[in-house]
Amino acid sequence: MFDFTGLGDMKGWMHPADSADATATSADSASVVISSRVRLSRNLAAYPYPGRIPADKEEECRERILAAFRRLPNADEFAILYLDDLPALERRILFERNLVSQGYSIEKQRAIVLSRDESVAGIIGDEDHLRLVGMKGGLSLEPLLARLDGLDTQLEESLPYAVSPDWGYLNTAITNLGTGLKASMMLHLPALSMSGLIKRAVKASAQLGLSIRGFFSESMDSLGDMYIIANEITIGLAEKEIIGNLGRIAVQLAGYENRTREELMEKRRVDIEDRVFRAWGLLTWCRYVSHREAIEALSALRLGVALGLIAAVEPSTLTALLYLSQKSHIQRVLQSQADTVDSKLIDYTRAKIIREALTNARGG
Amino acid sequence: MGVATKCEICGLKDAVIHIRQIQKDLVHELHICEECAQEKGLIREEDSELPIANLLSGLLEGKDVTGALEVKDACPKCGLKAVEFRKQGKLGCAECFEAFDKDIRAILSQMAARPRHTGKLPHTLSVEHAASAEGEGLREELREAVEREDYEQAARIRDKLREMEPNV
Repeated sequence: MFDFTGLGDMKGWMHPADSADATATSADSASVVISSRVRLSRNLAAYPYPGRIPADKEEECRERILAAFRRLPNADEFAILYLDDLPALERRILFERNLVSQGYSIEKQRAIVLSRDESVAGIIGDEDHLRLVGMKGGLSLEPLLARLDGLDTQLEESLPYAVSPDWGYLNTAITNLGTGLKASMMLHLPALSMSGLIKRAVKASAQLGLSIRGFFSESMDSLGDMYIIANEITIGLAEKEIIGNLGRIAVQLAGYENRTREELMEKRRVDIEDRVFRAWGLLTWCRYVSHREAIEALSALRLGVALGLIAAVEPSTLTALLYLSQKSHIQRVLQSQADTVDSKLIDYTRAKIIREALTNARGG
Repeated sequence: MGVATKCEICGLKDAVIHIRQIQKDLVHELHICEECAQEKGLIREEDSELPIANLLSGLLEGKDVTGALEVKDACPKCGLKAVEFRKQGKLGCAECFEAFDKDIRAILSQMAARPRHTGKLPHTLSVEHAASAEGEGLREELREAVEREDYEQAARIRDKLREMEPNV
């Protein structure tokens, strides 16, 4: 294992354009599909599932999974992080990066395995014994599934999974049987949101066994117009069918979004321009910005970049800023380990980080 | 008919009961012997017609498919109670899946269009599974065809099963 002390040396993370490597988007889908995520859930047949497992067994089970990772031929690509050894701030950063749930981030006796590039993680002892998670920018479900599938195949050699021919992987939640595969994508849908078409998209997706929810809030008027589309059905379809269906629907939604953007530009150009340039002005000049304000302005700016109203800003920079403008990430910049920190200082630092990342932006 | 048709259930005795379904210009036939018909509870004096669906279901596994396993009150291994499982939809260990088999089947059939795994399996299991998977799939299709009373399709699947497994 390489020397990895927590997330302390998260390389280049203060420079959004560099740190965005893991979430870089391809040019054509960058305007709508922000990132993709794939998760495979697995349990070991020999142990009760998390929540019902006694503490001593839990430790044994965890170490058995970690041993399987250590035996991988490419074991040096992974770092093992015992959460109990991490400062609270770094646990919260794991949560802010969508690697673990908030509840998991404060649990005891937990460990995760993280790839060097931070794009693949093995989460041990969440709802299931092991969840392999992969994240990547843009429409990347296929490469993500291929990577996780390969890892899973290597791990199964030393981990006897709970599995049956009829029900596939026997996971904790009945909604997660079969493939144990949950795939999702983060979509930026400002035009569908503005036009109210998002409600129809949500209904149609539900009929197709998919769900759409707000990224920053469960409600439909999601902050920053960021939505997560995910598969609900994990059984009865092969892994490739699941991600194929999801990918097709996401591409369709992106098509609707782009057409609606064009329509809005024809009918309400000044409204759009006002929203975009107002956000640019705010992020370029303000000295304090709250998280909420930042997300909304970054969303408007992203729309402006997609419509050619703003130039010299990479969508991947805007994606990175979404993560970097979260509280724990800012506390890391401030090298403040304190649980309570001056909120004015946070807002000031957030404004500064964003301002510096956008110095080259100009009207398109 | 020169040679007597054999019973399609036991394959031993001559069939004395012939069920013929005519659909447009297609004719589907099922032939069974008296003993098998009695054993399946298909012949009773008050029976004015034969419940073909039951008959075909019986053919699937040689047992009444409606009488499934009993649901246990709790999982014998981890102690998860049936009520807890029903409330949360979460299992406590691998053995819960046997203990709550019937419940799980019922929930899955409402949740998913095809409540049967068709994806990846660990290598050791998939080799063994591949051999029986096709036959299982066909039996499932046969069951579905019978349920929706599509006997034309049912007969076709039955023939396919026979080709695969000559002893059936």
